[in-house]
Amino acid sequence: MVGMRLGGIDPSILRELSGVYKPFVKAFKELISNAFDADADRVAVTFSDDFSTITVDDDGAGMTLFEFRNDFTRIGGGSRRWAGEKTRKGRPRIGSKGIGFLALARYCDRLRVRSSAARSFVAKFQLEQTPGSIDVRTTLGIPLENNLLNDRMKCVVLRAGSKRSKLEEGIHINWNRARTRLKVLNDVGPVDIRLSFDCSGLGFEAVLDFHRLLQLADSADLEALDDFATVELYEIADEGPVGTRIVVEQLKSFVRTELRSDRRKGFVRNVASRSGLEQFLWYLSRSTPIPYKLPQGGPNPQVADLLGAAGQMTLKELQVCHGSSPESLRRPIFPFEPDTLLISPDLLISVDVDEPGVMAKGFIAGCQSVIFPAEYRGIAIRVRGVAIGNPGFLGAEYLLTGAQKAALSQITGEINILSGLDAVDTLNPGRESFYEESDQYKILRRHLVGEGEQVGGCLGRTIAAVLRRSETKSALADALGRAAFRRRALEDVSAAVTHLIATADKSAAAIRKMLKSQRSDVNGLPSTGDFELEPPLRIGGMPVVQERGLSKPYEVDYIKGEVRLDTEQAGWNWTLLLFDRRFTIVNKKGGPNLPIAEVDHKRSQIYVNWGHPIKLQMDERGFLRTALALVLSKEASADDTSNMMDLLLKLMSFSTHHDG
Amino acid sequence: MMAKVVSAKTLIASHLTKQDRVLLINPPVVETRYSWIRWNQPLDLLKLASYLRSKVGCEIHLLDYMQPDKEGDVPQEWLPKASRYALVGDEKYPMRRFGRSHKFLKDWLAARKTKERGGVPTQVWITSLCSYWFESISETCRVVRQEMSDAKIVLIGQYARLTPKHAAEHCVCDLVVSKTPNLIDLPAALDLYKEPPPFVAVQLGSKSAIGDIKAAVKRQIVQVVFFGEDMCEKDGDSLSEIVEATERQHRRLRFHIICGLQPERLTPKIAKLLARKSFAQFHFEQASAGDGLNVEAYARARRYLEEAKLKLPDERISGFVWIGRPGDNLERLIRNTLTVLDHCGSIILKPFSPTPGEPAQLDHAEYLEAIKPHRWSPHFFPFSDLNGITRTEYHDLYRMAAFLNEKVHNHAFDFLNGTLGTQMLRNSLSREVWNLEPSPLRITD
Repeated sequence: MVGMRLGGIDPSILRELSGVYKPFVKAFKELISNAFDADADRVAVTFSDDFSTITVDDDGAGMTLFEFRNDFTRIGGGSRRWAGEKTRKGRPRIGSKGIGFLALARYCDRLRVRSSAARSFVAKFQLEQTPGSIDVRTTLGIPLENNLLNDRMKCVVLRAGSKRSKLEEGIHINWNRARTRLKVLNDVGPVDIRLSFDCSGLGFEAVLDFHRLLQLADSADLEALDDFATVELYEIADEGPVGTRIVVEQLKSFVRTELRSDRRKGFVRNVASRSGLEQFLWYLSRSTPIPYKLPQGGPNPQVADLLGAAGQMTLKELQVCHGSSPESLRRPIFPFEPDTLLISPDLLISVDVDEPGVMAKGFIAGCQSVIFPAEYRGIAIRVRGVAIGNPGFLGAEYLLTGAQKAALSQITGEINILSGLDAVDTLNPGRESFYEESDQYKILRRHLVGEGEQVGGCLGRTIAAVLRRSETKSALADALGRAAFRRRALEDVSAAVTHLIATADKSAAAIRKMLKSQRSDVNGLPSTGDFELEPPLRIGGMPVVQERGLSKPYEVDYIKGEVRLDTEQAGWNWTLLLFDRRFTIVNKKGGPNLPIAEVDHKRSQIYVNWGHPIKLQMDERGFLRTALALVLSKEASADDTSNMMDLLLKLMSFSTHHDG
Repeated sequence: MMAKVVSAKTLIASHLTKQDRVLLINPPVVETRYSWIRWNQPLDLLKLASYLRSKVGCEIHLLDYMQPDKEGDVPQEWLPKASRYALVGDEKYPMRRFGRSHKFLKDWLAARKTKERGGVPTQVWITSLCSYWFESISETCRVVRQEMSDAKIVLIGQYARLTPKHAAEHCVCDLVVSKTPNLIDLPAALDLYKEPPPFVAVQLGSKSAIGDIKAAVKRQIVQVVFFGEDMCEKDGDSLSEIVEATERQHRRLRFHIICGLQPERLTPKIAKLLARKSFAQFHFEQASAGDGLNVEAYARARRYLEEAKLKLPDERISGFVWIGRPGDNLERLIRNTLTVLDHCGSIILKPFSPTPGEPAQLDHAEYLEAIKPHRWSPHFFPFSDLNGITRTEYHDLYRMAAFLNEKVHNHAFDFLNGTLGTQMLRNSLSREVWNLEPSPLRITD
């Protein structure tokens, strides 16, 4: 291996730039991005058992040593060369700033790169003054042996200008014996020199010693820079598989410790509580250009259409292996998680931005409960398939308070930027965030969260949908709860009467006699106004429709905007079964001087006076039970006070529930 | 209108058609204790289901409130505070509901009411294992009537059969079946259980026993419980035939005999059968001779078991001892307890309840008039006052039995002073009154 100087890099700058990528997974993903840019379809990542090395193999276009030196390890210049460019396969290139190779500098001691490509390197430059000479090896910048130069290099020298006649060797130009130095013999004016080097059948292995590089940064020993990168060339006997292998060697101990860390014990919900390797894989799958984990018969297939997934280019496979069988990564998003409930259409907001400068597709979804894992909360934005920073709310969270802010924990989203917002001047170097002053970013933000001090846009609509559900649920629980509570009073009285008869209580005979009665000597209660205890007309702002035969006590149709209540179920039933006789409870708003309740045996109705003063002393359930117990014990006892009191106490105290 | 008392034949002929949807219910039980709860399976309903399917062809469903949950436990809950304690004599008995609550029925019904799941049952048949459990049957009838106002409610089982008039007057039902056909040979419709129950109940002498066991094994049910009056009938051939035909169906298949095994009817052949590993437990009924025990029968049974290479005491074996019968004498009870313990190695006290129409009830009809039928539960010792033995004394016998069962393995014991019962026990032990042969039991006090 021989040292290779990487063009003009100050180690201290290298050190600063390497700190841009945090944490480790965000640095590592740069290797995957590079493989994507190299038109790889498949990338395999293999961890050693002790996590000391990671090997990344891809089946992309590979690199010549020249491409390695001039592209892979070139600081800057990348923006001029890559911005807006596509790969040979037409993929929008991810790498644009030309610092990706430094990403891992802080996390490992060495990076070993092995690759080859059956391509030629062509360098064109001008010699302005003739006669003159150039040193080919210095110009190429690669430590090539003479025999390789002689065998593979071709050189064409042309007069610059309109004539462009070729200069002939032996007449105008000469080589030294080793053919490493070219001399232009005469004054022929400026000349254009075209050097081409055939790299087919030539592979290389380069080692970037980051450990040494960062030490050099401390000592500012530029002279020793040659040793930072070393390279070895070798002939490839036959056309083997193309691609590149990169081995990250000697991962730092803190990285290994993190990868080895165990999952937290007990019940865990968030990604942060998983094992180190699980977290690494999760974040890697969220930040690299791989296909979505589309559900096969799983939840929320409708979301896939909103992602614009079909129009995006991704790797075909990203496989990761540690120890046991390899795992093929897919990009997870919350709606596709196996246990996720179906996202109702009113909670699923489509994002479709198509304005000059920005095109984006995706969705924002509200969920019916707090989202776990918590890492799914927020809107993930991707440029060229790579996540920009962590999911967030574009600053809207600072504008919200109270219930609206709380609703954010139930919101997730995924936006794919199809064009715009991928220029170098819109993304910060580590691709962690956007430059907020960028016009394209402002357009996107306006669509997603609106403008000004109120949160609007797609996020605003999602928050409104989440809150509407929450309010409806709360109102329903209140209405149903009160109805069920009242119903319990009827159940208790019904059960009490059955129990007394079944166990042949001393009051049983009197009760039986009462139940056979056909008397109808009620007084003023039946003619008073009704007391409404029926289902409310509106719940959560939506009209209530009464139905029968629903599979649940209620259904809420947020699209149509109505609440359907099954009035046969739960607490809307006002029939009272007293042993073998059925009565209907009729709720009245009588005056305080009217009886608490009256029984019309003929019509099988019991009138309950909700205007009775006793109502003020107790809740609905207690009042209903008291009213029924009083009137029934009075009816059954035929004015025998002690029997009446005895029966009243039994009816009041009997309960079918523990909170009775 | 009071319910009609009919026979099953009339019910099926006149009140049931192919269009009916019949729901069979094994209701919950309200009791102060229920030791044998894990063996509660409505075999009558399961055979009835087979009968109705073949004779009528109507739709059948089963709701077994007593079916164990996934953990193998039967749900149970204390009654609400206001009705938790039953006052019987001077004793306060805490009462529990054994089995699911009526939410079980309501949830099932709510699911049925939707168009996709089919219609509401047109008839609901409620069974009963004991006539004194009618409180919960009455409540179940009420809930059914409330939730399914148009369904016909039919009471079957022991309560309906033994006290049809009481059932008709005290429960909200339409029909009370006082006579059921003999369904012993029909298969048990175990497929009515969506989740397989933990065991299959089999009637000895039933032609369908082998088929029922095989069908159960297919559903991974490997516990078989035998019911019958006489496990030793036909010199054990009935039992042996079933065991031979099914024992190899599953390597974990286990047989349980919890009733009907008379010591005096045991033969060496039957003893050899019972000694097999496939028998998980068997309990001897009390062998009586006059007022006392047939000790010879116990000794012989023990000998046969030992000849079959069973070493007593064996945790699989025990003997029942009746307590609470009319005419109980405390000293005799203690003596019986110790005798059975000595021969069987373990005792289970079996409290007594009078069965309507049987001699114990008929002979003491006047005495029992004063006791409400729902207090005839054996755990309330209905004959306590008649016998002059307090309920506290009877409860003490339970404690003693538990104590003795534990200590017999240690061949030594000491126990509390206190009641007359314990004092008499000490005296008896001192005099070894039960002892016909040398006993391993010795007092260390």
